[in-house]
Order: sequence, then structure tokens, then C-alpha cells
Amino acid sequence: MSGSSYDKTIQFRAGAEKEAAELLDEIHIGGVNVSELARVGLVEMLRQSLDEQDKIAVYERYSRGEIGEDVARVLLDEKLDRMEEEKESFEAAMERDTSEFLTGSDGE
Amino acid sequence: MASEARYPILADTSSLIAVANTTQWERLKDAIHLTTTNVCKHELQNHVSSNKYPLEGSREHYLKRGSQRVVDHLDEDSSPWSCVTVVPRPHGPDAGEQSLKQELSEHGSSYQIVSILDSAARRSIRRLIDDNGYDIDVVGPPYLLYILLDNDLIEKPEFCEATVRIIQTEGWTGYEVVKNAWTSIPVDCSEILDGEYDDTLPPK
Repeated sequence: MSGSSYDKTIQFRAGAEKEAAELLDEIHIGGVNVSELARVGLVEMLRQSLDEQDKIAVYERYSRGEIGEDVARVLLDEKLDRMEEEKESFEAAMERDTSEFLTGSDGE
Repeated sequence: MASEARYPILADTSSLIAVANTTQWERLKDAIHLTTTNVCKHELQNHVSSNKYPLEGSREHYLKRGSQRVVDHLDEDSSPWSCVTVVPRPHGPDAGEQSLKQELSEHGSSYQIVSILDSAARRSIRRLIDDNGYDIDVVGPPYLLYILLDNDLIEKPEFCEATVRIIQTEGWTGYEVVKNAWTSIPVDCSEILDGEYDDTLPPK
């Protein structure tokens, strides 16, 4: 749950997929790092699988401290930084004298 | 017809549609001064005319209804909102955003706030502002509602209900801008909104 399970191996039955990876490793000059390929592929697929509601749910769990930043980052990537950027921007805008934006403020 | 005056807040098409569809529209439209561009107004008019009878509750219906409200407001004789003409006129799917950039490049010092819904567009406009050294904050549409809250023109429950409406309609995009509004203020909306909004409320 809390991102401490990196030592656990994700296992799945790889038939043609495994063979295809081995084939690529054989024919590609310099070979391919199949583990790296699988890891990157998994991250990509995880992100693609997330719909709008999932993203909201992941961010909520992250803000409540239920999941670590590393896990949230796998799923939300740079969105975490953007959320921080947005927060700073909104806070800066709150510092302004908002009464200046009102129609009543200039005697109308 | 709206004037060509420049008020401190510049808003784009989608940001205006977002607030026009909230429960606080009637109060917001007359309470604040705001500026948009002729290109954004044209986008709003396109939403109004492109689909004659959109299905109630559909995205098209939402766009048409919000756009109609904004266009009507801009067309009022004594409108507190203004519409500035951008030349040359940009075209294409992101013409509204481009028109804001053009306007800011030429009249950046007239503005304090840019309200824009799309997060990628906000980042892009922030870069332009940084490059030009302007003192402008780029925020999502909940800020417009925050102005009402900050000036005691609406109460917390009204702010919460209107902002949650933006999340419901805009998904993650709305969540991104609303969540930050809630986190920053902070306004405890959990007492006000019931359980169905658990996923969109600020953390307890």
C-alpha cells in the first residue's frame, strides 16, 4: 500500500510477448534491456489506464498521506508539480486587493 | 455593447463558460469588471449557433447555455464587461488562447489577473508573462468566485457549491483548478457539501 514493495516482482504469464522480447533482444544491435522495457511499458500502461476519476482519487489519497509521492508520481507524473504550481499561483492572486475588481469600486 | 476598456482581469472562452454555468452567475456578472477578446467572443458565438437543440445535460448543451449567457451579458449596453479587438486575428482551435497572448504582449501592463481553464494554456501564458516581466497571476475560474467570497458578496456554502460544479463538469481539469482554490483559501467545504463529493473535497 505505501510504496515499500519494490522488491516484489510483478509476474504474468508471458507467452508470445516473452518470445517477441527475446526475439528483439536477439536481432536488435546491442540487444534490448527486457526488464527496463517491461518496467517502462508498465508505467506507460498504468498512466494510460487512468481515467479522470482515477486521477482525482489517486491525488486525494496522496494528499491524505495514504500513498507516497513515489507511487503518486508513477501515476500522475508531472501533474504533481503542476498542482503545486497552480497552488502557488492562486495564493499569489489571493494576496491582491480583490475589491479593485468590483464594479462598485470605481463609483459606477 | 461592451466597451473596449481594459479591466484588470482578462478571461478566456472556457473560463467564462465555466462560471456562467455555476449557481453564482447572476451575482458574478454584475459584481465584477472583466475583459475578454473579440476572438473569445466569436468562439462563444460559435458554441451558441453550432448546435441548435443539444440534449439536456450534454457537453454541447453546457457549452451552448454558458456561452449564451456570456454573449448576452457582453451585448448589454451597460455591461461591466469589455471586449477588446485583437489584430491580426488568430484562427484555429486555440485561437482564443492565442488572442489572450497577443493582447498580453501588447497591453500586459493593463492586467493583474488572467483567468483561463485549460492548464496547458495557463502554463504557456505564465511563460509569456515571465518573459515580459509583467506582474500578472494566471489562475482558474474559481478565482472569479473567490473575488465574491473575499468581498462578502457570497457566503462559503455558495462558493463551495459553485466551485464543485466546475469539477463535476470539467473532470481532472476542473479538479486541478478547484482543488487549489480550496487548498489555498482554505474553505472547509466538507461541512457544506454532502458525501457525494468526497472525491473532490479538500483533505480533512
